[in-house]
Amino acid sequence: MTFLMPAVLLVGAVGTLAAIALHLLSVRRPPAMLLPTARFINPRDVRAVSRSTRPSDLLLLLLRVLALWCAAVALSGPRWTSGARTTGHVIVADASLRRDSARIASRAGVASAPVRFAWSDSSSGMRAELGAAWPLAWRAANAMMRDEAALDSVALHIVVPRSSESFDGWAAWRHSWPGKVDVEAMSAANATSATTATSATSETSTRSVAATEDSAGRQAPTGDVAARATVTVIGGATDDVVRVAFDVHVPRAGGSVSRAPAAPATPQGTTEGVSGTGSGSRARTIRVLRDAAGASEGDAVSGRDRATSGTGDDAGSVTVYWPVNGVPRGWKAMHDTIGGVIAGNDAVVAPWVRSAAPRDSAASSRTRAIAWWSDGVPAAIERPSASGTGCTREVGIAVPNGSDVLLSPSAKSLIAALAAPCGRTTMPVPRSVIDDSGNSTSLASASALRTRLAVRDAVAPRWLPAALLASAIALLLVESAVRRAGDDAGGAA
Amino acid sequence: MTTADGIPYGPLIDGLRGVRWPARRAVGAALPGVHRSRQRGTSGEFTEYRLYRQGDDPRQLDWKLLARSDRAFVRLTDDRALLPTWIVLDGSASMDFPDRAHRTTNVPDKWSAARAIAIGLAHVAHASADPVGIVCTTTTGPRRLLPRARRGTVSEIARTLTSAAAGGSAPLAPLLAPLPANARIVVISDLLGDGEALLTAAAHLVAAGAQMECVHIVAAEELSPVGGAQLARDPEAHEIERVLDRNVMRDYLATFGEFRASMARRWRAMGAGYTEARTDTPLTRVVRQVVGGQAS
Repeated sequence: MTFLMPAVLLVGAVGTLAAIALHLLSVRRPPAMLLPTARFINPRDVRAVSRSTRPSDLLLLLLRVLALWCAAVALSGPRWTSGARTTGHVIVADASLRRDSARIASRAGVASAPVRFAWSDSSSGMRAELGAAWPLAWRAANAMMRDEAALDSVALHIVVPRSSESFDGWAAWRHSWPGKVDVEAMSAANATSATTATSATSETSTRSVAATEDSAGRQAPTGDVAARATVTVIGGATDDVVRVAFDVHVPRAGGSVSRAPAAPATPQGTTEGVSGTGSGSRARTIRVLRDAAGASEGDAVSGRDRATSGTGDDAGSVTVYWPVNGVPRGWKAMHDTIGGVIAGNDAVVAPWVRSAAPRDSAASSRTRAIAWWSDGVPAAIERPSASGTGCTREVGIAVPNGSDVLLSPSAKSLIAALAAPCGRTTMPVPRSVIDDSGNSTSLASASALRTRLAVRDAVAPRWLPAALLASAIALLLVESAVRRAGDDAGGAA
Repeated sequence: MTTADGIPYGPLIDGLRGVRWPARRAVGAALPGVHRSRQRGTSGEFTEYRLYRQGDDPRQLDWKLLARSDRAFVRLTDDRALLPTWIVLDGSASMDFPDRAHRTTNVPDKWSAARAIAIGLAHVAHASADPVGIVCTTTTGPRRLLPRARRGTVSEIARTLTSAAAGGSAPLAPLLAPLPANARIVVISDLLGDGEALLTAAAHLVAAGAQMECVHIVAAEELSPVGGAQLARDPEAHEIERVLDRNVMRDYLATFGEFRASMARRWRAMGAGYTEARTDTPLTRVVRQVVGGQAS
């Protein structure tokens, strides 16, 4: 048997001890005797305190204790359950895994126990905010508490995506769950398999940025695992540090980041590698323009954008305008030094020379910053393309030739932000999230969840509290009768 | 002879053999007996000379003294008279204490002690040829035996008292008042009943010339109550209930002692003899104290 309010039993125990103590220290009339000289005794209270080693009136004591315990058990919300302890399972996962629900349940160790799934929307949900898992978990737990009255505990399993735009909600609401949490990352088999795009032109080879892990276990920076992407760097030196950075921070899939010459060329001369996907899946293109000539480059960029946007295959293509001098067209020139640039959860600390900043007129509801200098000035901004299907990113970061600052691990978030799909800047889910099972080592108790969810727990069986209270009242009536009978007998004596 | 409690009267009577109970004062005119009479007579032992007066019996003249002194003197002697003895016994409920459960070993209860003392006094008085009678209150009402000096009187008294049981709350003073004043009256009681009325009746009798003795029976258990805290209840006044424990014991003993001392003063002040007889005191000693007037 379990109790909804075990503290009431403690009150019953204290009352029992008090009743026993009172029976040991009861004040009663001393035994009577005849004494002809009683008149010479000073009159006072005829009661005397006496102590005994055994409680007096054992029958009365028994009746009182039984009545007390019946009332205490009735008020503590008894639930008569079978001997087995039942654990329910709540599984939160991305909606893309809906077809694999059986396998997920099997991996969670759910055999025949009650299980409830909560699916996170693939376009929003955990991919936008990892903390969206918690409302889903609570909602599923609430439904389970209402449907399953005999649960003793609830096990929570969360399958998190590989990357997400924000983890703030996760950290803020993590400890709201009153028990252990089993966090698992999406496996590679669950993600869209990476394909190696082959271009019709063999001058350059493109490489798809897919949702796979390289041998070092690094996760893919892109958040959209449903699409493939090819990166092409146009312009810049042969050993352009930006190209090398994309090559370093983006997992290899057989090939390197392509490089296109800086000279204006016909669109067909570029090696965007837009298509060439053998698998027939939709591909996403990322073009990085490094031309030093701002005006001509900008025109060329615009022309390429228009040309690219006309194709039906590069929906969501990203054009990153990253001039070598760090002054994108339309930015206001400035010259100072700044200590770091921040993107995602990382900051690249170096003696940066800042040469430009976005004009205030550039700010609009459709423009958003994706990287910032340490003083909060945007270092890179994103604008949606004219076609509306892609976007353009302008980067005002001047990287000296030969510098390896972009090759450091802290620059990975910056590159990932620049390579992310339009409108989204995702970050890989840190290992700490997956390893975090919480401070508790035990499962969340069903009673605690019911209390937090204000789910009215069912007392089982329903007639038990009423029967116990009736028993307590009956015992008190019997105690009263026995006590009166004892008083009458004592008076007659 | 034994009482219903098994107290043998034989040893008691044997212990009182030869004990005499002289009267405190000269008795009034009565049948000849052993007690000095207030009257002067011509028989008995010589006491004094008196000048011959006209009308005296010339045979009482002391011729030898006449020859020596040439004066006529008459020899006078004391008369001896009987002194009827009444024994008034209190048989109220307070005398039936303690009961068997609370009695100290080898110590009789008050009623048994009172009956034994009464029989002992009756024996001593009867041995002097004095008539002895008893009056006692019992559960079945008062019992009375008129004073007799014949043989078997003491046995009859013993049988009467053996069959009597103490109980009730009948007052003793109404039995005392009608008694004759020219007698010796012994009141054997615990003085817890109608003590004031008893004192008044006794004072009247003493004033009328009776020789009064009071034997105050006190139980050893009243002087040293045993047990822990108890609710003491008066057997003759059940509304009196007092808790007796060690906290009030000292005050109780002091109050009880003051009562006994007061009784002694008042009985003696009226000219009566007073003897406090504790139940743990040998009964023969008590009887000797009474007849010898030592406690007075």
